[in-house]
Amino acid sequence: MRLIRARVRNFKLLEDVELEFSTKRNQPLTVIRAENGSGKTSLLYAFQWAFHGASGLPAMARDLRLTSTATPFGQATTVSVTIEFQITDHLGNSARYRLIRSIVETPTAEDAFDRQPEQIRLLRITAKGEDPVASADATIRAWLPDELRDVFFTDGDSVQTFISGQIGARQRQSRVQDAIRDLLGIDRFRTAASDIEAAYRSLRAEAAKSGGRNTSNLESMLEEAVRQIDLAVADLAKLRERQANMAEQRARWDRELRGMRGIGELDEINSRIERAEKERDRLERERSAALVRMRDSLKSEDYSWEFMNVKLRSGVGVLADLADRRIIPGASVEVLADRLELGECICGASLEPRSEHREHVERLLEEQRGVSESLQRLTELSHLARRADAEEQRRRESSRAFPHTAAQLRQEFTEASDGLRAKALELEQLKLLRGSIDERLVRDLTSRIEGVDAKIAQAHQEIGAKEVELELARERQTVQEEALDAAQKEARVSKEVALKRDVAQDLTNLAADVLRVLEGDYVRRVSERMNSLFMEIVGTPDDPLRRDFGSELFARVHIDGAFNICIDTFDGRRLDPDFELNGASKRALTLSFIWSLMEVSGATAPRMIDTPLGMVSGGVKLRMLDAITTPPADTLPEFQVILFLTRAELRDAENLIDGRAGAIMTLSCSEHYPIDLVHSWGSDYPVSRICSCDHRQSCRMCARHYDGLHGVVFQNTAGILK
Amino acid sequence: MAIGVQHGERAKLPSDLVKFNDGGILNSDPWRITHLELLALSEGGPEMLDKPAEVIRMASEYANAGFPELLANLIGQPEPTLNLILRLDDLKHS
Repeated sequence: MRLIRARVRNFKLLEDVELEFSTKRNQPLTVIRAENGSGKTSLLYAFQWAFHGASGLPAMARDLRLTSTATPFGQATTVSVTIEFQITDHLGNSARYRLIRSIVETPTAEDAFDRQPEQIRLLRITAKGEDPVASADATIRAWLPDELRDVFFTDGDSVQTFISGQIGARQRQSRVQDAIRDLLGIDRFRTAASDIEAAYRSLRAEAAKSGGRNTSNLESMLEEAVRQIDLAVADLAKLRERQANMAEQRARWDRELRGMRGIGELDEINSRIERAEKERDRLERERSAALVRMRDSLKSEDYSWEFMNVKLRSGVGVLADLADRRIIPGASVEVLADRLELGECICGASLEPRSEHREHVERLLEEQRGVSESLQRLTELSHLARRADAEEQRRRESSRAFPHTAAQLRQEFTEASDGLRAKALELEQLKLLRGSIDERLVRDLTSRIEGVDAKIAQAHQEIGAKEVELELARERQTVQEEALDAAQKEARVSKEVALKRDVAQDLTNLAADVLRVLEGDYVRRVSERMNSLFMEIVGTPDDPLRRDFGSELFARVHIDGAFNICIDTFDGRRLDPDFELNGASKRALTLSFIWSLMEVSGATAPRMIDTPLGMVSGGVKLRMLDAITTPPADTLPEFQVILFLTRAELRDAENLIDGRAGAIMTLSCSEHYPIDLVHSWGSDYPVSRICSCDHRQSCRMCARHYDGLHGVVFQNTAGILK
Repeated sequence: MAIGVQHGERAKLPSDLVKFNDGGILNSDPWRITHLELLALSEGGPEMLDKPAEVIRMASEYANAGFPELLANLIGQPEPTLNLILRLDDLKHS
């Protein structure tokens, strides 16, 4: 499947949003630049909803209203998502489709709403027009299986559930196994193998029946032995499952208990709270200091220069003009009077009484007395202005002038505010932790662990007994098969039935072998590709950048026989993905798994991921982005990657994005004005809209404060898509 | 006043003026006088410096023109100073 364009209407705050996706083979990436709270998650949900209906939404989102919270109670609103895409079959035949899912929703109270049934239409676009496709939901499911929606449409955190998270190890194994089987089509082959085996059993029974009473009885006994084996296998599987679940539960309780004991020292928690409170106070002081300095800056000389620059410089120009015309500096009255008294001019000439020179100086003195006050003031002002101007120039050259100081103060204020929020959260968690130390719970957990230990031991015994039972049943089966074979040779079994039976038996064995090889082979290929991709992202052991990643210990990642994704270290340890991998490693590993799975299966479904590069930075971020956006080799099918990226995720990756992205757009929300957005949209209600600005541009709709500091160029001409 | 100057607008003063600031601020920061005089030079040439009342009226009219925007950016804002500094940045680039 290749997405071409989409239109989302009235879905949450996405009143009317249109998107065009990159369909270029050598530029598989489409970037939707959006900050937190701009509507990324809504957009992701809109796609999940369009393809899979309400059941495709995450559990927590299913019962929430789809319409904007600004929609008045009682107003029926049509929510719709239209997606145009192309499907190419294994023979290379392509067809275009348009999927339209819609629903009419009427909000009735704050969290309540009435909904009419969902409508779905799938249209095949041909040269003659659009033909409706029957069973739209089933057709979509065939292209994008429900089970794999987390692979196709996901976010940076959910994507990690393949390797870690709040689900149990068994559930994780099952997710990995299901993803591999679904995407590689192994289950379809498994069903076929099972059908062949059923046919073989039926033919074997028919052959035995045609051989007379003895063979018929032996067949019945063999069938019963097989039934017993099937039952024993099923029982054994259940017992093992139960034991594994109990072991997992035990591990959880144990971790909880160890965690509680680890944090158990109240003094330690109190001291952490004290440290956090001090840090919070320090941040509060920093924040207040930044505000005070902001206020001071608004009273500063720099500020005055900045905002009255043109006028002040014009004033300086007037003074320069006066100086050019030698009007200032004015000759000093005192100096002229002194000279007359001394009888000698500053040029050395004599100022004898009644001399022409003396009369000239006396005239000059008279004139100066008339204007001296004004000239004196202008002269002084000229000196002051020259000094102030020079100082301002120096400030400007050393980046100490108002714009730079103001930007720095805003940054300091924002950082302190962010730090305060984080610290408040930490304090809240620490206080919760302090409240959670519960001696009764410790005793309760200890007792539960003892209880489950006994049950695990009992399950262990039951499994042993069941294994013995199974082994005996298999031995009986072998004996009975041999007896049946011998009896059938003596009896007159129809040649035709015997032939069919033998062929079916060969096919059954063949199918079982093929399935084993296929599953093993696919898993091995996915595993190897996952390893190479992961190592590409984290860097080779010699790569100095790898130390940035905190991952110099990784020797190999692979999928084991039980479908666990394993991380082995150079010193022979196996890391627990929940507790021993950092966030960046988890993302790198899961993305490597999904990408290798898609590549091995040849699946062409789009991969839409919200905020995939959170928690990663520097060289790792670039390598991760590089790995997941590298165009496919000529021998591999093309694919699409649609990434929702924040400005922080895009930073320093601009050049890579230039080469890989065939389409870039920006999603913004009106609610971000004035704190983050520069311009008001004039909207009376909250709404998210998209514009065609790429990662280097901003326009009146998407421009944010600090964009300029990060090289984003403002342009009035960027088009608003919708 | 700086906002008024940036906009290039002077607003005539009302007749019923109430004096609430005696100009003490000019003593605390001498550069203010320098800037005021440069502004006056720019507006009315050297002669204007001989008419202090004219200079003060010019400053007051610029301030009067800047007040509405100043107040709009301060009143009702969760972080008035931050908001003002952001808006001033916009004003400079508008």
